[in-house]
Amino acid sequence: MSLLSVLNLTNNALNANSQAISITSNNIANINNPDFARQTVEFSQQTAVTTPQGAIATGITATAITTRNALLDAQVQLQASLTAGVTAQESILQQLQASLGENLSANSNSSGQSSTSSNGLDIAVNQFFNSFQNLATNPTDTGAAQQAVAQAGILSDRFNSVTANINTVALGVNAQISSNVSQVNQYLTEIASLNTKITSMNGNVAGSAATLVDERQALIEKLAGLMPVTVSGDNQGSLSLTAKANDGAGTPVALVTNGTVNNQISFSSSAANTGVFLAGTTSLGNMQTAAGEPSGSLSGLLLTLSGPLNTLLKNVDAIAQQIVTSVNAAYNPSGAASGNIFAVINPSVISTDYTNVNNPLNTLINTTGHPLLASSSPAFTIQVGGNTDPIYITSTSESLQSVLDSISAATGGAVTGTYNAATDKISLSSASTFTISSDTSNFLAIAKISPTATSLSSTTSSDAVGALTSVLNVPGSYANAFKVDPNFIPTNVVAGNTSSYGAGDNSYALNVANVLSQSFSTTAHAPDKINGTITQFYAGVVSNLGQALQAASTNAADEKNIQSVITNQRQSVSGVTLDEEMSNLLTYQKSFQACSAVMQAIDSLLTNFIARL
Amino acid sequence: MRITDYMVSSGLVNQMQNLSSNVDNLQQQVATGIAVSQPSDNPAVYGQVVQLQSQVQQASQYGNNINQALQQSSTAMNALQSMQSLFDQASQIATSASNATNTAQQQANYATQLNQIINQAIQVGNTQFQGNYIFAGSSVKTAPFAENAMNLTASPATNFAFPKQYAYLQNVTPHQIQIPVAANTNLTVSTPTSYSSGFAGFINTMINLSNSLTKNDTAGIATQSSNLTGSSSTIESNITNAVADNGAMQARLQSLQTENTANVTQYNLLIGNDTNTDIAATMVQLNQAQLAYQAAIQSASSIMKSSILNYLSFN
Repeated sequence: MSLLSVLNLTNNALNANSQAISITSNNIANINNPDFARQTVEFSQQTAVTTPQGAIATGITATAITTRNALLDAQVQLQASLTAGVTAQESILQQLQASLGENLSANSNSSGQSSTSSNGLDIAVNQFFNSFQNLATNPTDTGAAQQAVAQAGILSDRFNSVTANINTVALGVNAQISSNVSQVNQYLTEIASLNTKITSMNGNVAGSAATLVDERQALIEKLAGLMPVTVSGDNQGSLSLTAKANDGAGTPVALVTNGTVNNQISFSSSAANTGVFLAGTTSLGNMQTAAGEPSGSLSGLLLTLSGPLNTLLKNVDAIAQQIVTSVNAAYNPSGAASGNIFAVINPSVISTDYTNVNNPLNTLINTTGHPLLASSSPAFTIQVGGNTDPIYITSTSESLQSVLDSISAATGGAVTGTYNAATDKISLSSASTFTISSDTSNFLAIAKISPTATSLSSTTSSDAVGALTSVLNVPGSYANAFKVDPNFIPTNVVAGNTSSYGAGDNSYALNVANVLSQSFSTTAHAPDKINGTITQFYAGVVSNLGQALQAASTNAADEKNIQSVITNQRQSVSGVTLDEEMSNLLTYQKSFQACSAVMQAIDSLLTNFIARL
Repeated sequence: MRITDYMVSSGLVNQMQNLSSNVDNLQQQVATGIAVSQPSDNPAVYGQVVQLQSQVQQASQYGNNINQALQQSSTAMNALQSMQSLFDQASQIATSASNATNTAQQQANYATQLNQIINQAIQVGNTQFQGNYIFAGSSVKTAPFAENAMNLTASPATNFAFPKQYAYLQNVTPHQIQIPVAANTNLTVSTPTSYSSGFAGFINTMINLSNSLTKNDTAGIATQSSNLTGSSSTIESNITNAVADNGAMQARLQSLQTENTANVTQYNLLIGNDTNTDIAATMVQLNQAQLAYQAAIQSASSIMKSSILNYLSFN
């Protein structure tokens, strides 16, 4: 073997060591990059050349090997979905808890006694009923009477503001859903584009796209934080992403195949698929896990919206409705005109039943000042898909029969309907199309429409059909819109039937005060909206919300811990340690130095040889 | 397991976040003295607190109501006792006037004395509390007894043209007021029907006696005296019963008040037990958490300071 061949071999070795140093330096540079998968150097001997003198080595080459582990990547990605789902849930529940204004604070009075009190709705409720108790005790005291009216105002304000708070949370969730959906679509596009680039780079030099692969994996994990996806293919080459259809079997729906985005996702507001996510036209449902846990923040958002948020809104509304109905009946037993304390007046924001799949969520919560509930509303037509679709109507102040009388068929003539005393509802079953006259100020709302109703239209309103649907389910309308009746003259507030029994009669105030200790039952007495006393029911509502938040917080903490364990496992395989890289660097440096020494030796030999010629 | 540099730093951040949130939580509990401040801290306890708190608020209103009722009741008691003393005076006059040897002038003098008592009885019957007539049932703004009223219905007052005529004007069974004093308990505090109808009987009998005295109608005097003080007369027993009844009412109110105060204390105690921080235990936990926090920072800083770089030299 000639000296010149050795020179060539040493040159190869120098190159290999330089490359190894370069790989190490890249690893060190990315030491704090969580998305980076370190590369290791694999030295391999070049094929020896067989000569008559025997086999002659031709040197070594160094190759970078990525340590990315597909199994760990998949686990991290799965966990990212679970963690983001419960975290989103926890965050909304925290906002809901704050919207109730419930928190305990310690007070101490002048005599040094300390007590604990909350600042929630129940305080306003108790103060309202106490003020009527006070009026019952001091029936001729105008101060007590004015205080009672003022407390009625405070009570309605508190309910209105709590409902507005809950609706604000709902609107925030809605905005978050839209922004997450566009984020998902952007990620899908970027991943498809990276797929193309990776394939093309790997085509030139295998494994040269390591940086892009890291980038893509980071995007997939971000995507998984928003919605659950299944990844298939070569994790160093081109990948495909699928989601699971909401068809019971979880049939894969292609999102990205190699360089192509097959389906972008959207949030459905169509009548058939309200409140679910779609990939193209395929429903993905709420994307929760088989156990019903949220998977991805989109899933967490939607499940919280249709679950705890909706329940809270309905329950607060039920309390408000019970108070309005019972207090009005107690204070105005004869149903005299302008005699009610509370009225439901033109709600400016109409909330929705988030659980009814036939209600398009995004239109629902954006609906404001619906004409059906406005005093100056135009005529309003509802078309129902047949005799099997009863519409139920409740009224704030008028008798249900008079409500029924104000509804006439679009073709003229009265609509036949049946008032069911047990449910306190009117069932309109005979007309397929009818009109509610413009005098709708006395309607609370049409409370419920059967999910099979197919179409709704408004003759003069510019609202979308979907928006009208929303009005038909208005939990929150009471809590949101009840006020002290504008027809109620505060200075005329009386404690009892003064015209019959004299100024000292306190029967009305006593009746109102007694509503607080009255126990209601939705089963034993159908018109009731709550079960138990107002305080008991509210305590249950608060407790349930607290329970949901506590569970979500515990789940979120658990999922975060699991995520950190899995991420550490992956880091353990793919992460960079400085100690290891530095000792490698030292090794490669020494090898480089040794090779240089060999080269120097050959150089010296050759120089000597040439000098002596 | 390979431990990478990123694992050390991200692990440290996670750990510090958990520990500092723990420290913050415990510190807040110590600072506010409340361990359960939000529903999610302890949902079941919070639900109970909401109910207990409502009971405290109600009990405090019942306390105010009972105070009001007690004041009204004690005003009524004063009036009833005055009425008792007036009855005694009227009885003496009736006894003296029943003497057959009295002259017309003497009887007229008795009538004058009796009229004073009648005036006084009217006043007592019209006793007011906070501007309301307490013996008028729910018609608190109309005096239950009046002088020379035009629409007298009680017979025989209208049959005689005497200087003074009085009568009980109200319905003899006035609409009564009830005051809420405890959960599901409403009490008729100071205006039972028996009070006002008893007064009416007393006053009207005195008027009749006064009229008979003025006329020196011996038979009438005997009848009216007997109506007032005779063994079959219920006037005295009516007033005595009212006094006893009122005394019992006050005793009941006082007992309700004691019970109510005890309830408020008890409810507050329960709320406190449920929500207050166990300062000793929390302080110990806080110290532990602080120690862990410090240890995490110190150990991490010493680990992160040292690496192979401290020992290698490249040349």
